[in-house]
Amino acid sequence: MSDVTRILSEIQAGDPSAADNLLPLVYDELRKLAAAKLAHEKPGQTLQATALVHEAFLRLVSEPQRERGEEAPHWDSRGHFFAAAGTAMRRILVENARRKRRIKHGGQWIRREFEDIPTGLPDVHEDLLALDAALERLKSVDSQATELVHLRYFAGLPLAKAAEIMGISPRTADRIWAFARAWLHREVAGTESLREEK
Amino acid sequence: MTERELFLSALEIEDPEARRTFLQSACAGDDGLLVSVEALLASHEGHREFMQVPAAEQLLDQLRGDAAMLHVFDNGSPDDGTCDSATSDANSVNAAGVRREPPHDEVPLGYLQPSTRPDSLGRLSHYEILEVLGTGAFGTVLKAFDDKLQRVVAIKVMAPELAVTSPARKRFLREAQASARIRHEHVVSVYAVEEKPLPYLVMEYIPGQTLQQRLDEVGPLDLSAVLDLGRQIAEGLAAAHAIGLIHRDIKPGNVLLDTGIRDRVKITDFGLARAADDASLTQSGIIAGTPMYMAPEQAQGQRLDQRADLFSFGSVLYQMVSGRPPFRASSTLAVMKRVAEGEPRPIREIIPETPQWLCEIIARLHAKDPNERFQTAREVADLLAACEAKLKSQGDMLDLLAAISPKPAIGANRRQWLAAAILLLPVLALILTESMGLTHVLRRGETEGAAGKPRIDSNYSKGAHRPPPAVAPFTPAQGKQQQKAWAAYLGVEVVTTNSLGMKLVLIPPGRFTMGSPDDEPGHKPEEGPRHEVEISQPFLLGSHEVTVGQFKTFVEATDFLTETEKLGGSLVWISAEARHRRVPEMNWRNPGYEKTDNHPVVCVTWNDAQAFCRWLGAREGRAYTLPSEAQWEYACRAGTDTAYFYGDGEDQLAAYVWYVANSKGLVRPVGEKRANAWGLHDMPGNVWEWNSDGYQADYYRISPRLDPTGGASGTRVMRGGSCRDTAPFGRSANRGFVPPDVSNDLIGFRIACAVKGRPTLRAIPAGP
Repeated sequence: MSDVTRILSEIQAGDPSAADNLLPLVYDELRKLAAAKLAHEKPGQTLQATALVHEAFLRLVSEPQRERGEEAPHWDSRGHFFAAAGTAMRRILVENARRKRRIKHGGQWIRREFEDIPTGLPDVHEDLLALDAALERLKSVDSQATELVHLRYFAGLPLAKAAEIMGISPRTADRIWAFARAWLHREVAGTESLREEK
Repeated sequence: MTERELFLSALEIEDPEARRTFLQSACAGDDGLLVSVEALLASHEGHREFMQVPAAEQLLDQLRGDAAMLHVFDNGSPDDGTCDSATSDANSVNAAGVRREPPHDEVPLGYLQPSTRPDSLGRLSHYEILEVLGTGAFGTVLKAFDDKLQRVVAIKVMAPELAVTSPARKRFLREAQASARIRHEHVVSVYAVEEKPLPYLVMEYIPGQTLQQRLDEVGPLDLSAVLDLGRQIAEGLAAAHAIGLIHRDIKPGNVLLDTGIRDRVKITDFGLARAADDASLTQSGIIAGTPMYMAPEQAQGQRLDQRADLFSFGSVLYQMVSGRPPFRASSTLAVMKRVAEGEPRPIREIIPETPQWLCEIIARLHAKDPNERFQTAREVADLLAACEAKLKSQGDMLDLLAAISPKPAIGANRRQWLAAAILLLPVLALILTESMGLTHVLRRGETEGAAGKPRIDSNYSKGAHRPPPAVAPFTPAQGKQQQKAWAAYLGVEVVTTNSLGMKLVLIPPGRFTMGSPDDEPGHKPEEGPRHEVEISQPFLLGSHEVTVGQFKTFVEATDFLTETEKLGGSLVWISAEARHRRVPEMNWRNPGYEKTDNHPVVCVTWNDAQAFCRWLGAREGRAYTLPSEAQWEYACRAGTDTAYFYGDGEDQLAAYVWYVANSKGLVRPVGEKRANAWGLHDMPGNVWEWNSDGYQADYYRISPRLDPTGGASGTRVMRGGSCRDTAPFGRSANRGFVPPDVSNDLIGFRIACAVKGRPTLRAIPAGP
């Protein structure tokens, strides 16, 4: 059993702390994959976040299992995997944005935590640092919405697939997604000066 | 109910008025909650691009040398299916063959099969896809080559996200099949309708532009063009109506102009609005499309027949003649109310030369009761053809009157109308003669005075030449010189002082590039695309924000109670509760920090700022307003095209702007920082400033070039950032927005005013 497969079965067995162990592994793999893709990306190729996550899944779970002649894991465990992947993608991207900001503002702050990811990465349209902070707040208001954002926006899953993982209907997912987006947008955009704490 | 429940329940209610009523009762007097949910709805409806594309995909796509990824969904998100102007966007690109964004690989084309042709993006059945012409909420429009019939076609592919819902898919197919039955020279031919892999329809490829683009470009059309294009539209409608089809979404964006030796009209998208409605209603409870051209029975959700198209056609004619849609308002709800109840502004108030008989034709199309309208498109087409012929032969219009006036019988209203028409008869003939050979393009500002002649005001220095407009970019010295030249020409000083001791600065008319480029540090999507804007009139702008002392004079003179006070204090965001809360003791007298009379007034709502303008205007006998967003950015930039009004980096920011790095978070008295080239202080920084415009995130995509006045939204623009914002908020292009009844300790305003006895100006010729 690979580490990841073991952790996935622990999660399925109901061990809540197991998810925390999954994250660093997924994170690490995704980071490596992302770095490789970003470095070698050719014009015209298609590569999507979902593809990245699927590839990580294959490398961490499926292939090691197949090599050992085991069955491919059940979708449930895939669900946990994708949830972790979403969280991991969020961390990677937010860290990257933070590092960029440091470089931009702090001049020669050069202890690169992620030397394997090329510098000069373009910006995401959303302000990821603000979004990250807003997501933390959303989590306390509505953790389900936060989970959906991880799957949809960070792991890049189609809404229907995310709904399946979360065990909700596509229509419910559609509605929660609308809420999450509106809520986060309200937080991040435009009315910054309305938010001074009193 | 929680905020989420409130938001989702509100989305289910499609009627805006009912929605508002629901929210008010559900929030039960909790203003903070109401504002929070309304802000959610505004975010939901105004920012469909937000988070639409997974973050990692954006990075990867940009690495492919393509910074425009997000604009794939620029007019609505297929994901939540809410489709503002669901079809027009795709069609405008379809028609024009112009794409606004770089090509193909940003649009998900996963449904295409690989191709061997080098110039092909892929294959769809026997079509080689050549390029992506555009995308809208409804789907993607592709230019393709039909291998079998060896011709270029346009293909409209339904967005995969819409295609998953069965009703939308079925409706799309049904309407598309029905529209394929129309064969007429003024209707875009539908060649084929297919279901797999996604529903798509194959149609005639029309190079050219939409009527909307034409109107944006040239403004009001001359009489012969109105009649010519109008007749062609009516002919196309008549053909569709003849086989029992209703278009449901007649608007300038759905009228394509095949621009050859003369313009040939092609109407597109029969019935598709309905399919889009289906999709969006089932998915988010929001009606698709703009209501600006809707018939009243449509706005009220009643049963429609073909006469609804005639009402919309009336609105299109109105816009061709006057340059603007007849029913405009600050929100969707207000537009629908206008459509249902209001009368549009008389066309001859806008364009005095418009012949009365044409106004009558449009008025008759605009009858609220379908029975009062012309009854068929055929009738209108014939009438317009007759007018056209008469106009050409210099004949008189007398015998046409019978056709314009309704057939006798039925209700009293009709007889009244007829009587009025007969009374007008001699006038009509006269007007027609006067308007013969009328070919000039009328522009706003040329309509004052009799017979379109500019009114000469004694204020102007006699014989002075009109100085050239201030066309950015220019240097500070040039900017000052232009101010002086215009002041001399207008016979005013560059800086004047009004009755409150407020300094007003003369801003010359001119042209600039509004918005910021994608690569400007701090750029936000709603600041794009950059576009050229023309400010056609000189105006005066307060050199400083309105101060506490000046506002106090107003309150003392009128016993004015601000909206903030009426509502129970200013709103403050409480992060821990993730919501706004009113702080009762917080208002303009007490913004929560030490203030003097020379501090900018804050804790005033947009409505309060308006009240101040009205009072001051009445007191001085001139019209004060808030500056429009375009005026504000133009004045702020003062000729610069850099991120900040003094240049690019943040190094000099502290000399010009109070922001978080130098203000200690405190609002400062006005005018402590250096002015821009035109002598305006604190444009960015210190406090936000209300603008007159309704805020629309994607307004820059549809904004007119000439004197834009903002989008159709109740939410208002604020500009300039505050002392608690970071450096990027001090950029000239930065935009903010707030509902008009919200106030806090960081939003103030400055006022603008037309120049007394201003000259009428010609529009400035387009740039190179």
